[in-house]
Amino acid sequence: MSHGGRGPAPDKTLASGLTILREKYRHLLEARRRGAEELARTYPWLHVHQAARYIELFGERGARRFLTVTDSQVAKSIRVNTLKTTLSTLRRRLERRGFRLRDHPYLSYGLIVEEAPYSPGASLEYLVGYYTIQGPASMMAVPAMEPVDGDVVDLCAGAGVKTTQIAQHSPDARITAFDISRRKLAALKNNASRLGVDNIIAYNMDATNSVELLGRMSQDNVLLDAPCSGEGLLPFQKGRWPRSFEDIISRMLVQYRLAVTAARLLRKGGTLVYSTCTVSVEENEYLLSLVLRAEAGLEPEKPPIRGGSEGITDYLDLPIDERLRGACRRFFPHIHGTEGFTICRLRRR
Amino acid sequence: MQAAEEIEAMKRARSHMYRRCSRREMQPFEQLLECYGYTRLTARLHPLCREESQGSSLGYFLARHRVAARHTPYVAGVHVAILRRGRSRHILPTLGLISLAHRYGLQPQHYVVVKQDAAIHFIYGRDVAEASIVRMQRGEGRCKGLPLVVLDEFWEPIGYGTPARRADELLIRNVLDAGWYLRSGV
Repeated sequence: MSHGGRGPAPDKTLASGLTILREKYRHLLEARRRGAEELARTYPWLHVHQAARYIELFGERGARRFLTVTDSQVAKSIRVNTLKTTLSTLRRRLERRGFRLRDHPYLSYGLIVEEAPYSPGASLEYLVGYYTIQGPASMMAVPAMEPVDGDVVDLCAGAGVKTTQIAQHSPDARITAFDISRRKLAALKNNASRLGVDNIIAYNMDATNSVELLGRMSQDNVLLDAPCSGEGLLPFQKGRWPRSFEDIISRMLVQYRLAVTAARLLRKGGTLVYSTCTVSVEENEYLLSLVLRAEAGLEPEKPPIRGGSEGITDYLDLPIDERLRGACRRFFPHIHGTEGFTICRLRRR
Repeated sequence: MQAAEEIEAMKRARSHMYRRCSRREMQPFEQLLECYGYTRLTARLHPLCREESQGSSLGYFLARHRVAARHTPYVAGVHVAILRRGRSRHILPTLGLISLAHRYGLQPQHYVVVKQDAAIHFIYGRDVAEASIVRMQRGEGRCKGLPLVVLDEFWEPIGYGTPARRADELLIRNVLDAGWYLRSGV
């Protein structure tokens, strides 16, 4: 995705952070080249840079385990729309139709679909708005934010899956959503209509301009589900494409501008949840370390969710804020059986 | 600077603005809500109007919060009805209306209940045969020209239909059904 944003410009903190990262990448490639090339031969779609990063992150055996996970090993899940029904009622209805379901391990309104007689997106219950389809880890981002019935922003709303989840938590909140894609907002409009969500106002514009529209320090909660390299989707065919070091860096440029914007929108005492569908440390803990250095008044905070494992602060000898270990939750396909996903929470003092 | 220009451009896009509906614009909408028994929706939500299709129609929206006059969002609340202008001026409900009414537990007063098998066929765009009609209640004069809300056996709204006759048999013609959410492709 291209980013034509005119919000906060990449600053010195980011520039020096990327210089350090490029230097670390150079060393990484020297140290891990052999193992990385071998791994890249096994998986033809895998970039050597990517292979080296996974070996550094998981070790050689761990990297292989990570790369062998396929979509059938990742849990499929649905989110019950508690604005219209209850989990037990929906569960009974779907089981009567031949669905085999179990409770989401960490969320009271999530269901894991173990077997479905047909696509869960084609049932009458789906069309009536009783549920929506959402990844088991991805549906943890909104509970991590604990949205209030105040002013809430979703900066990269896409089709509005998490935006409508915010509405489920906070039906009286004023939810403002942004997305640069008109097509995605058309999907958001339909999703809100189907789910009966009436408290979203969505703008088709670059989210980095949202401070001009809403005002600095105007929001109680900000969700930034940032565009990322999508390395959490490697179990799926659509996620299997090569990512070089520069691909990761180009994502970080976008993420940094969005994260700084998100921080500036946040009111005193407000919470910001930064999430990505990637396992990359660069795009999560390291990126947020740079944001914490650039934006005063933010502090990492433990998200009130169960599941996943703690954040990673020991990677490539990068200067990563140690507090992010407790403030981030990580979900890995080969460990947790979910899509790869990272959720971090910050609060403005 | 450029960001300010973008916002200025949004402000200028008056034709696409969500605004408070005029008293005249509210008349057909209020009539529609009365017909279906959904008037309580406006006690909770703000009706907003927006010009559609270069002024040839008017969209009605129900939103929890008002939209600041200087802003031009792409979406505000839920699209609930559309008024076609021109010679055959008429108002039609959308799927958003029954979805919101369902969320707030409002049962329609102008409706037809159909058997579950027929409901499944209905969401695939089919009409409902007389044998599949469980119950029908037609609203009074103010419902003239408005389609019936089609409910499945659990009294869940699945779309709109109009009664018609085919070879001496009553049927409910599919006007709009919830399967549109899938078929629309967005």
